[in-house]
Amino acid sequence: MDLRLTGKRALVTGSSSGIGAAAARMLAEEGCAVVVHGRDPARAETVAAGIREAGGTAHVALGDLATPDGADAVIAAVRAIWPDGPDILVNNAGGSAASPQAWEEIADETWLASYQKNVVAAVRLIRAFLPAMKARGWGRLIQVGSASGAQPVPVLPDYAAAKAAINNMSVALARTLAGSGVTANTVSPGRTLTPAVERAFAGRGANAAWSADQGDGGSAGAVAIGTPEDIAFAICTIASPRSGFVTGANIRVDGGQVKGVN
Amino acid sequence: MDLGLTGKRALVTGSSSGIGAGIARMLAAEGCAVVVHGRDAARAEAVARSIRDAGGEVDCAIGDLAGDAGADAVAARAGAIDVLVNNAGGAAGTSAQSWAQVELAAWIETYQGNVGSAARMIQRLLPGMRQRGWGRIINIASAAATQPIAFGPDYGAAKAAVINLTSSLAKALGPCGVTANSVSPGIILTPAVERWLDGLREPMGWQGLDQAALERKVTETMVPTLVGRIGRVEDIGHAVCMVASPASGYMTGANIRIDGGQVQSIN
Repeated sequence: MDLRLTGKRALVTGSSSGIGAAAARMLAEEGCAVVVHGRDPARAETVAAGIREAGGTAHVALGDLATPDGADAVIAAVRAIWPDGPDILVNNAGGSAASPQAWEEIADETWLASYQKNVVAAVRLIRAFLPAMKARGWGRLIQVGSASGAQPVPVLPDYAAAKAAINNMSVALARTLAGSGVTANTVSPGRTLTPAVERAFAGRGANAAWSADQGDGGSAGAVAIGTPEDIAFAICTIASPRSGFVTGANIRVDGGQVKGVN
Repeated sequence: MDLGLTGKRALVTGSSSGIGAGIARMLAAEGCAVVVHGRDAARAEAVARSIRDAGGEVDCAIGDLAGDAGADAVAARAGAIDVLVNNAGGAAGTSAQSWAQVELAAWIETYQGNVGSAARMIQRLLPGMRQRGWGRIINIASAAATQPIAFGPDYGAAKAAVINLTSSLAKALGPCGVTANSVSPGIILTPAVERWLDGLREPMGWQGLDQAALERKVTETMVPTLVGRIGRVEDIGHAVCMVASPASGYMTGANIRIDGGQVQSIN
């Protein structure tokens, strides 16, 4: 199936590794020109170089989206590459602002920093690039949420709450975009085998054969763990012009990890 | 992108028209051998012929899935199925009937037509999928399942049951290589909806509107959605192809809304 993405411009935040890197690669394979975003120049450039070697078009934009100045730097870098901004914005950058701690020991600063890093980071880019998408009458705003947004676990409540806010914000956004040709959706991954998760597994003596009895309160799904490509596939599908009738939706790609119906 | 569906065998129930026919066509275009199902042999054969003419591999299976005999006949004819799309359904009356109009018998009939027919086909075709270690069960629900309207309560309730049984099935399947998901369409331009739209023109004073303007009116007023048009069967077919793909192996127990923003709550 031709996803009709050839010639579209896609910015994927947090794409110097893991899910973001897989999404950038897959969008490039489908014919998008992509901007790889990260904070570390060497890592972002490695992903971009890999895309170019595979015959794709890739640029790099650097900066910390959790700060206004960092976001401004990223926006300026993207506009230097594409004066009209991207057609497809994948707000993937995020994560918890701190390592797991006991619930009652998480400081105000951590709660706020996680909100900045996940929600406000996405809002900054949407504010910057949405007007041009509207003017062109086409655009895709794809937020990467998390299974923990709908089904929180005991750890990292600051992260889960921010991801819940991402999904909520994305629906409000979809409602403001009525008739504009721009859609807003969330893709919510379950546990995904990214380098960060591999490190966490190594630290807990587990491996990719993670299962419900390995100390996570039975939160594993029917399919124990996904790959970055599993999530990237859903992102590409939603990015496609063929998905123009999908907006305000949350697409769970979590192996059945979230137990409730949606 | 190659969705990896070449050589898979797919049964789409209720595919002699509308959304089911659209799904069957798109799966065939992706390389699936498809089995078109309906109750009317002539209508099913017409869809099959159009798929064959487009170069697709296709068979027909005829039967009423509201009973075991029909389901047995369809399953026997379908053979070893890799992708089961439970699309057959609908309301016993119309989904626009008021509470007072829906008799108890209609509640049961609608449940039978949506839930019973899906359960029957799952019972018959799942064992083979499990044995082969790969399969896709895709149940077509509705926006009305999670956002009921004041009419057609038998239909909304039956579709809610479809989403619920899908979530249960995903858990029962575990990591066996078979996934279960539902796709929930909003308003889609099927022949039935086209007839409904035509019937609205006169009472609403919309006689002079072209198709696009008519759809804008309907999505602004009667069925509020965000994309300014009524969906097409291809919108649903795209989602079904995506979920059917081997690339979606990590998606199970999910409900995918393809509704132009019709359902207003978060999911």
